[in-house]
Amino acid sequence: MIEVLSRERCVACGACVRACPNEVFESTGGVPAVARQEDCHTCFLCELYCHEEALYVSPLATPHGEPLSFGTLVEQGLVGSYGRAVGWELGRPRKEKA
Amino acid sequence: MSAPTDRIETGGNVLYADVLVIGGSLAGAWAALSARSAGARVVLAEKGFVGTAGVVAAANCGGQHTIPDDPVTSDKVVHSRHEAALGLDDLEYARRVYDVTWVVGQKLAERGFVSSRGPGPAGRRLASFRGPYSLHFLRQELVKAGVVILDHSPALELLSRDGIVSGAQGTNRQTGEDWAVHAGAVILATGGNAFRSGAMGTNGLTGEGHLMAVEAGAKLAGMEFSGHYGIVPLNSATTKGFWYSSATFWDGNGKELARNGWESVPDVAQAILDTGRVWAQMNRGPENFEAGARQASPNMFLYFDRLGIDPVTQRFPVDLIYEGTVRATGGLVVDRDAHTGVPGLWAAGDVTERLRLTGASMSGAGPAISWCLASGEWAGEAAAGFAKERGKLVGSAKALGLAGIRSAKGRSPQVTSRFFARVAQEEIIPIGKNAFRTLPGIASSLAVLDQSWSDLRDGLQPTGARERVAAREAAALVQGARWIYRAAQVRTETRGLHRLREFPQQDPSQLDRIELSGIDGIAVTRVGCG
Repeated sequence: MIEVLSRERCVACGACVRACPNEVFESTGGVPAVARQEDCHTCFLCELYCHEEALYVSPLATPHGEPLSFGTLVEQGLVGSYGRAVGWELGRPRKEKA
Repeated sequence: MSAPTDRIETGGNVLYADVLVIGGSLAGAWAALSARSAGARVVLAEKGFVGTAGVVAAANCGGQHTIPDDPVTSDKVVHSRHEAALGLDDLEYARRVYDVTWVVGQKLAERGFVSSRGPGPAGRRLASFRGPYSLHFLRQELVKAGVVILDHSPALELLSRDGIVSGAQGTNRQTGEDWAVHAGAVILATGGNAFRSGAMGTNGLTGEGHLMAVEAGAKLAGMEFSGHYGIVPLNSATTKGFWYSSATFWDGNGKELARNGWESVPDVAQAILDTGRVWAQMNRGPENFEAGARQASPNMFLYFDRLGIDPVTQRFPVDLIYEGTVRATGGLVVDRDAHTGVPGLWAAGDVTERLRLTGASMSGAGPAISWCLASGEWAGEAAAGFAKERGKLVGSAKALGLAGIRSAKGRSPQVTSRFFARVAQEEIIPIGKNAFRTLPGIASSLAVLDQSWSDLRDGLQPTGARERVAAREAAALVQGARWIYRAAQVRTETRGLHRLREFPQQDPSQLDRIELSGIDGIAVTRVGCG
């Protein structure tokens, strides 16, 4: 479930609002709001579409309750780890030869 | 550069096209490209976002296909699910599906699609989908081809003219604006119904496609083969059951279970009921198990890596998540061209029945992916041809939706969508009710669901975009549960994904299909005995 949207990294481009299939995020004019966390189905795809690596989706299907430290997650190498594993960078699949 | 859409006429939020595709995951995207290749002007409306919506985008999965100059491999593919189908498949039909999947694989390769490199000779695995990349690729192809995409735009109901399906109308969940698409033909590709169980990628799969089609007169089949649950690490959504064939399972008392992999699902369910918890460890794989599993299912390892669990050396708790008709075989009846039998209406992918491919058992992975491509190819071609022949739309459009849209008795403030969705979930999701069914249990669930159906049909009349979508979803969830249990009630045996406690064996006299039609009153017909 989506747990962290880093206000430091977010550039308010709206990619997550656009890409989420469940309308979990909502445009506010600035940094989007995580308006409907309960509708997140833990597909991790917003992490891929965010080219600033400003999002962290927890692998748990229910909310953590306590806020997670984004800095610690970065140190642990967990932010952006899905993108690295599936060959995405800057919000899109890396080009590769057919 | 603006895309060549061949003049999709628009006026406000009203669009005119030849073919409307509802649902933009693998089947819908391919159906739209197929219709577009056949010369149709195409609009694709998706509840979420084309590129992330549906179960394929959230996972990696490989389709299977025959290979024209390799009869031995081809025969193996055609027979791959024959034994598990338990007498309800059709090998000639399966061959036709896997043959077309090869053809579609060639077309994908020509478009520049990079199939993931699995085992097997180069160029011989054409339909392996790394989900996020694949749907991103298909979105680019749709844009290039000039298909008009409506994201965040769930369809609420079909439209018809003179008894022919002629479009749909819905709303945009982000802007709150209503839309209508008038089209010569409609293809439903809305996926199965996972009842909001929380399984990976399934939140949008709530069964409105079934509801809209049956309102128009379509039939369903195989709805009783829907007792499937995906194995997940506890409190994870990631249902990658394949890897559990390399696992050992223990019940809550530490006793080892007999079976592994998908076949263990009933044992795991029983052990959860009896001992409260099941544990697993992926300790039976080959030498390079972890490297292979990481490459094929990186999403599964997010759970282990982010929680600091080594699944190969440590036992971890597992659970089951209901997958409804998604990885099962029930859905809309379609003919060899993916036509529903309702004039103007086709269907592709998981929204249809897949009995002929995998019979009473899971359609998941290989066959389901192949079916998305094959049925999308057929539906797209046929719908484009129909729309072309039909020409200009005449007559006035009639909206076909009832429950959750037009209440029979007016709004009742006590009646909420959230309430009805929960009622449906409470009857259909618990393993004690649906992994193992009993005749009294089914009767009791149906009593609750029938009452809910009549309450929501008479009372639910929401306002506002998000509430109107939620109401339609609630109606589809309740109705989906009613259809499943009505079919389950008459199949007095255990076969594949239908397990009835009173009848734990297969009954050779029930090698037939159970077809359903109707909304308020559900008609049940048993068709053809093998």
